[in-house]
Amino acid sequence: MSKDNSIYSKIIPLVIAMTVVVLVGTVITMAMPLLRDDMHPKLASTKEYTAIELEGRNIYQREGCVNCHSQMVRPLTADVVRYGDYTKAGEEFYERPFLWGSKRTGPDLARTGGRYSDEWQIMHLKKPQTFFPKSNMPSYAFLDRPADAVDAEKSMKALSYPYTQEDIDQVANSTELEALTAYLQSLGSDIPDNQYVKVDYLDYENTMAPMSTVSPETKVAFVDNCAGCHGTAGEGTDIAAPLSDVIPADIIDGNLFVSIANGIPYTMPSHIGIMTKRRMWELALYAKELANKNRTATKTTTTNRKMSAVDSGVNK
Amino acid sequence: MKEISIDSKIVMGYIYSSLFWGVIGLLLGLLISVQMWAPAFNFGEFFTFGRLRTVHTNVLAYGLGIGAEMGVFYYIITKLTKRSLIFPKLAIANLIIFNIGILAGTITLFMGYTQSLEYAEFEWPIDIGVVIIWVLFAVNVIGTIATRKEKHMYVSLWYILVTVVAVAILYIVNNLPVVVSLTKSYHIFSGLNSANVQWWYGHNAVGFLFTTPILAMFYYFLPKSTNMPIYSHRLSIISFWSLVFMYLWTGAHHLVYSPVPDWLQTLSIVFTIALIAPSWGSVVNGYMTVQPDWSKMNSQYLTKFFILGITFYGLQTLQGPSQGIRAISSLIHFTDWVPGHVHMGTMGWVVLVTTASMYYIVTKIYNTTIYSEKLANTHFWLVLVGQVVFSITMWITGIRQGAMWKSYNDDGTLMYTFMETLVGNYPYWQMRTVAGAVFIVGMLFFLFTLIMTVVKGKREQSSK
Repeated sequence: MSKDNSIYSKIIPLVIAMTVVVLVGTVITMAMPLLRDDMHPKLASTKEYTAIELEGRNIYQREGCVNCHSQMVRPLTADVVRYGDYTKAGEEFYERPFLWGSKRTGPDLARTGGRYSDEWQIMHLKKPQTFFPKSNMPSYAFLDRPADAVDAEKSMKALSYPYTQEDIDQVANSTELEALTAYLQSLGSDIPDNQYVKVDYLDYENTMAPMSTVSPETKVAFVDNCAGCHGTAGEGTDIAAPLSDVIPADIIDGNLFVSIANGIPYTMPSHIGIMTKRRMWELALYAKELANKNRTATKTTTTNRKMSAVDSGVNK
Repeated sequence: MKEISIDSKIVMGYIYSSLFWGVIGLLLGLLISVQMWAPAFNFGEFFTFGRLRTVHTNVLAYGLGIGAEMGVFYYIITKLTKRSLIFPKLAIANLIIFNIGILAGTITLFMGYTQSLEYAEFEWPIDIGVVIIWVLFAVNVIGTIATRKEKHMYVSLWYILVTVVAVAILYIVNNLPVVVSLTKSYHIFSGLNSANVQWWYGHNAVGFLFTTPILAMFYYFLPKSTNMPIYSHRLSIISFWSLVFMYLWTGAHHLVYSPVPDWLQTLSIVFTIALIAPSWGSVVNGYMTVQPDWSKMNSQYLTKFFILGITFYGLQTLQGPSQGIRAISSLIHFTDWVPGHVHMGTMGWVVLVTTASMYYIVTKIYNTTIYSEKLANTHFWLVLVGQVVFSITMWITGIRQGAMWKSYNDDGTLMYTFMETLVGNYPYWQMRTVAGAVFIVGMLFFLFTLIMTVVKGKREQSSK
């Protein structure tokens, strides 16, 4: 087929031709974008990682968290309702490498910062099944060891991020679990109010209430979604005080509903994305019912009070 | 007894090495498939899913994939140039460096030293090793072809040459680091560019490690084993240049609905769809080659490996482009559909063609016939069934979970918690483990048959 004098019998011209052909698409779609402004915007709120956050990010990389968790909320309703505001180009300025991932074996983490307490994150990392019995996430209890401050300082230097000696000391005084938690809590913080869907008590006070019955499905939902922290009967766990302590007897139902729906920053995750409004109203009633039951039954024991969820939420 | 040539020894050295890494990579794949539904199978720090998944993909892509390709390429090159390798000692040294490199790379990934870039996880010192291995390989490939005794260069040689060129460019650019220490670096590109460069690399790594090299094998071994000439050289030329041109434009289809600018996403989607044409050029060329005598599927045991292999290539190159379309991406991206897709390509196309090529090579090198066609057929059916069940279960659960993620209640809230969508995967993931085990048993049949063929060949030689 090929003639003796064609390119197919001359190796050097052939290899050069191949290289040129390979480089056309490469230059246009890979190299050229490097120089374009639309490829490296920056939000005013986007800042360099602190030393402990960067060390946490190093650990996140080392453990291959990106193999199961994406960090990229797509501008799709379902993504935004579940996770929060979609990922903005300007947030990515300092991401080396980007950690969007390509598989969501676990949920997206781009907006996880502030959804849970530090304590929750650490307990969850140690044993995810404490909160989600059917979770397939491995235990990261082995991260309960000192974080590497030398590595953190080298990393900060390599990236020319600003830091002080206190920042490095903070890493030295932390465990790897704490560093990883600091990183997780930083995710999404460039978008201050990143929870896209929220409810307003005033909107629902009149339409949903009054409601007096709690369906069996709601009791199951309580076990699945609430019992990990609050206990199956609202008696409290290591991570949360009994419901009787966090839900005052005279609470306004709507306030409780809004707390469940929107969550309480750094304390309790939101639920508005993942259950019906009716279910959340019923959960509010059920939680109140459990709290009242606890109040009458357990006057005798003093549980150590970790935190008062509703109070801390109101104060924030 | 007649000794096999130095070239043949080199080829066999690469084949044995690749099979060694293949067994390790496959067993790790089986373990992580169990970890997906049984977290108790995560053992301590070094055997957690997060680290092992990376070891699995890298050992198979680099250890099995590149190892096999280098060995098979050396074989094809010596045949098509009608001469022996120009630097045989360099090839032997490279084989040793290759194995040390993969071993070092594997250990460092177990240790958690990773760049977190898919298929470019090796840290920068290992990258330097990979580049050295590739340059030494390129020197031998280009040197041997440049001094060939056969004027005409068959299409397989072009595919080999473009593989050498493209992988070098891709690997070096995407692995440029900001060095922190011997064991840690950051991507030199940040944010959107980090993502865009990585997927320019990631997609084309698939193109130039799992497409062009396997096509080189396909175009050589299909006509050889069937004794039928390739249907159309013109079609192979058109397919070659259009494939090589268009592949590089398509990386951003991995970034659909990401913050990467829409023009980049759309451009890549367009080229992704266009890529169906050159891919199917090779598929049609393969089918038409066997067209004059389909009884070869029955009478020549290797034919079915190549024809099923190119069929999965054809399915892969239809499914892949469809995944780039925004509406489909919105449903299946981030789900198990994608591993299902990848494994059809690797376990279907790459493994069927590569293992058949190895059977052919071993019988030629040892001047013998296959130890047992029956065992080779068992190997064929087990890997075929294992792969098909693997892929189909993943497609089903991918669509299932993707659909659950976007199911709404009447009041606009989401119907399912993440956990509810996750637990639905478990039965499918369990089926996938079974399918993977069937596939591995098939691969053990392959290993046994291949080694017994070598033993048989050696015995026949010594009795002469």
